[in-house]
Amino acid sequence: MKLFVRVFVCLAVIAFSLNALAAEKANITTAKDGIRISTCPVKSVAQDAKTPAVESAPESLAALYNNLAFDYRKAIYWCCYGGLLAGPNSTYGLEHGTAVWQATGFTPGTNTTVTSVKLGVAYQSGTFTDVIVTINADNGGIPGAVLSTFTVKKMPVFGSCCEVKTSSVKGGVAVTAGTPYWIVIGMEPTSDFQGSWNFDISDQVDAIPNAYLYDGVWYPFDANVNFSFGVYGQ
Amino acid sequence: MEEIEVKITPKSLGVFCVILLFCFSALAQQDKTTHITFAQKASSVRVSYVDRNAGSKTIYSNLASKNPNGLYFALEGATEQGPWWGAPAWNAVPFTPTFNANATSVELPLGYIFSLNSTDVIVSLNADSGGLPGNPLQSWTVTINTGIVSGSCCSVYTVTGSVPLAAGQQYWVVVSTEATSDMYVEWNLNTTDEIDNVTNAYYDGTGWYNYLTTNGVAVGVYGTKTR
Repeated sequence: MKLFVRVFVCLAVIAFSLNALAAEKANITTAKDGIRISTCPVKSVAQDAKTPAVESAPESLAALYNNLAFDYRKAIYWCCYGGLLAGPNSTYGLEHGTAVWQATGFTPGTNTTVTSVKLGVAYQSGTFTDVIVTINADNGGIPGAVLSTFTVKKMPVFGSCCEVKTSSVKGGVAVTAGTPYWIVIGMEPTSDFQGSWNFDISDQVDAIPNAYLYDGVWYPFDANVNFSFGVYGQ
Repeated sequence: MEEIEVKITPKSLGVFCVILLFCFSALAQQDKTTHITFAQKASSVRVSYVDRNAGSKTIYSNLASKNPNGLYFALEGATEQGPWWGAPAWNAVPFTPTFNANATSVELPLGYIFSLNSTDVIVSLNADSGGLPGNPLQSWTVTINTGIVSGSCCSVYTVTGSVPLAAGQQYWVVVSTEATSDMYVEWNLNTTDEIDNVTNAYYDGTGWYNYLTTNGVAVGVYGTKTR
């Protein structure tokens, strides 16, 4: 009887899990051990080699938004979970017939010019080792027109912490106080890159806008654990 | 978060079966070195941490108190379960005071997952016994708030007492359950250090065992400095 109850509970938990998986489609979480979600105890895997933080926030620039936890240089973002980034020819892309991009929003408090962006982004597999990052205008709650484009290469391996990728924004992007903008991470049309936009750990309370691109369609979602990034200007 | 309809297809059924097997396997193995993870839910509690330890000395802490909105990682923790689940899963984290102290409070995050009848867990400060948790020096029965579900951030459970601690001696903070408990919670992981290996310990009913991890559970021990 006791075993039956346990099994029943486990099934209930699995049902919750499936529900969560469905809800989770909103941010398509990926984990370094390939386990997306489980509400039953799961076997742990050996930790990947961790790397110390090698970059810090530009001291001379003001953060328009930042959730990188620079106060804790050994835990700037969460090493092991994040939003899936998948080119169309990646393992995930081929299996599901779609690329997966991720985006997160920020709203500047003052009129300024964005001059650099920092990302907690990681490589998992593929011959392509770069992602394309854009700063976009807002289009009714999802990413709109591209305002600036740059490439991020040589990302740390997924599961490691805490290397941050910093990119300068050529020419800068003028932004207006109170207007929403987006940081988008995408891939080239033939990319087989697969990786992760790691979750932030400095603010798991406040929700900010996020969106993911699946089958060429943007799906917005709010979350209190967001993608790790910082936007800086002057 | 938007609602998405789940359709039962051969593929989803296959995924279900894999997870089911995974679940049974996990139940059978009861490996306590494991971590559990959860997607964030709309019902999760989102509150800033309030530091109530002003005036106390930090004896040990890996809570990210500089980030009151990110005190620990809400979406992953160590399994804490009562023996009802087949075997207990208890965890412990060691600390070594750098000064003689009197521990007056312990803070730790626990996310509620499930229970049928049980309402609490047991938190204790233990002596060390050969690198593993030894005798409890003080224990507290902590009533679990079922509203603070797994995935919530950033509230903590606080226990208060008086436990003399000697500098240079290792002690343990242990979260366990009663002998017939069916409580199932997660002890959230810390967000201050994902690089250095730390030794934690788990208990599976047969004994305490050490394990190394770069993602240790989160805890803070506070008190006063003594001679």
